[in-house]
Amino acid sequence: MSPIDWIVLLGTLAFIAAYGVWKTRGSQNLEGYLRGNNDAKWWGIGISIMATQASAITFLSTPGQAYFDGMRFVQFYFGLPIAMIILSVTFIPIYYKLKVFTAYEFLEQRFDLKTRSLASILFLVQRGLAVGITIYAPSIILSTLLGWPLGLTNLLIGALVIVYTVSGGTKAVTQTQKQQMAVMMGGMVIAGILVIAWLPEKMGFGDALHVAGKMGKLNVVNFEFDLNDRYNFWSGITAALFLFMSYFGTDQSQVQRYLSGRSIAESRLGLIMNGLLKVPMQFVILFIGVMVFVFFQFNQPPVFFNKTALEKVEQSANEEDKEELERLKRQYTHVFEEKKYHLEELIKATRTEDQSEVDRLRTEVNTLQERSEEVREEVKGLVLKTDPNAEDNDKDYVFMTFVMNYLPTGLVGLLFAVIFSAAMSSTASELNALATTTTIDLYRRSIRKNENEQHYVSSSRWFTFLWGILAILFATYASLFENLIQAVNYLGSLFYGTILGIFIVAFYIKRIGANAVFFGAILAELLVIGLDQANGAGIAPEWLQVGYLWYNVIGCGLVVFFGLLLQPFFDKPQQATILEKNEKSHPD
Amino acid sequence: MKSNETAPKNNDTEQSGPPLFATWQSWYALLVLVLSVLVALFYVLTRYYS
Repeated sequence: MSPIDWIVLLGTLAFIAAYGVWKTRGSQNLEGYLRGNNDAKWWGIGISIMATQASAITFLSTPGQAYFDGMRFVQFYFGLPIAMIILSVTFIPIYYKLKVFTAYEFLEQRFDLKTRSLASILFLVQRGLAVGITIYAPSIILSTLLGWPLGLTNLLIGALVIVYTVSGGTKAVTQTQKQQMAVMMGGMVIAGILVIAWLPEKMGFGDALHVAGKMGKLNVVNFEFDLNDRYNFWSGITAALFLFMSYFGTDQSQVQRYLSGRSIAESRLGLIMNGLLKVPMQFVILFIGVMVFVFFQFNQPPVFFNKTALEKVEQSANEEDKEELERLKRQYTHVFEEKKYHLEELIKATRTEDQSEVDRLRTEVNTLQERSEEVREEVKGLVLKTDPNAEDNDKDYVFMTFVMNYLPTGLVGLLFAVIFSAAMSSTASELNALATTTTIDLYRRSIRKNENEQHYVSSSRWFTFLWGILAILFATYASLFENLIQAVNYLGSLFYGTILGIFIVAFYIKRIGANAVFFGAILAELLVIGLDQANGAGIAPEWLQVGYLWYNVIGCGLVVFFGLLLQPFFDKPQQATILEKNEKSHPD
Repeated sequence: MKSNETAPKNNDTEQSGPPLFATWQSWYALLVLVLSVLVALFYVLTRYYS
């Protein structure tokens, strides 16, 4: 990167962190520190919700996903607007009515302390590990691209976030997310405009769409029902709906965002804004990936996008491997030139509406694309032979390869700022939520019950700091625990269904009490884990071989089922009346 | 002890009315409508350019 890019990158990050500290300076009470004095407006809430969900991997991986797999990933988000409606109707009014700091407080009022503690500890374990990954995942890519040590990249992201999150709490998180979202959207829109503008001179936007479509990249919607297909209309509108209800309704890193609203109306509008904008936003990011794909059909891409891994083969002591790589590169170039020629012919045939020629050329182009992928597979084999620990999936490097090789000076720095901003915005929300849950659900509830307000503010700051240090440490040593990373990713999908099930029972099935839901949740969780293990070992019956998204539905359904089944064996629920009592004591 | 740590009250806990539309149901209908239009457009895009 040039000095101007460094100034843009470091200047942007330093400004955002300093702004967060300055804007929230001065002493705060617990209400101010954890809920931002409830003065957030709907658009601030909406931005904060979107910035929390949009991690660095969203901007690194999503265009690469579209590059190789097309646009079908957008269907994953179809359940999100429906989830926003359900949360607006049911969850938000109850959270406001009970005046909670955390989602888990509600569970004690509805059930008992053990259910609240179970849910909050599950959240802390899951999110505590995940925040390390939120830093590690982009750091490993950014450090490769920038040539930095991994530890330094982790430290830069973590330290900046800790500074303003410890200092200003929830308000600092919300304030900085506005700037971060502006950088993210601005950077992506500019990159999208430039990739389209830099397509070959004689090629129009419509031609680019035809090229993408004929090569199978504009596969946005698929109505075929297939339980094993992770991304189709039906899995998006059902299984992902459960995931989003759980994530936005019960994960404190999101709940805390809309609990900082001025009123129910502002919080609802924030969620509705998220529901209206999320699908178009993901569409645009994926579409940029598809346009990068079209761009690289006319400008030869590297045979492998992870330059550092490829350089290891080029500098290998094994002469045979080096010669083999050179041979594969020549073959790749030859296939590229041939494919480019056929694509130009395909565009001409499309313009003249010669359908038989279009069909012939489409088959030809896609055959060449397959050959191109076969060459890449052979190169991946060489990369792994040279370094068995190398990452052979290079999709996360596609977009930044385009950025670094083709964008002008200044914009490269801005696009790196997009990735860092996304990492920081998610990390800040997560640290903020971890500290809030630790303070409110464990420390103040069960450890130090009767301290003054300032003590709890100070504790919250310390817990934010400690979770931040833990996150940096985990991110730094994460590469030693590849299996642990996979386990963390699994944990998220395995636990969300059960947690949602507890909340669904709490909200909708008043005849199920604390003990039935507690033991029902434990049974449900064991069954979901058992199902996952059976699927992994290939011993599950065919009708149970489902994609991981469906675990959310299964886990949730099992909690309800076991709750109903076990309830006759326990006393009638007394806690269920607390909501009714609360309604009577707070007449609206 | 039942949740002695009840947070300070929000500025309002009432069923605030929505801006622009008369009811919240209208906002939810708008969300569903926008999603339906997007899915329809995506479907056309998929079919037309494939």
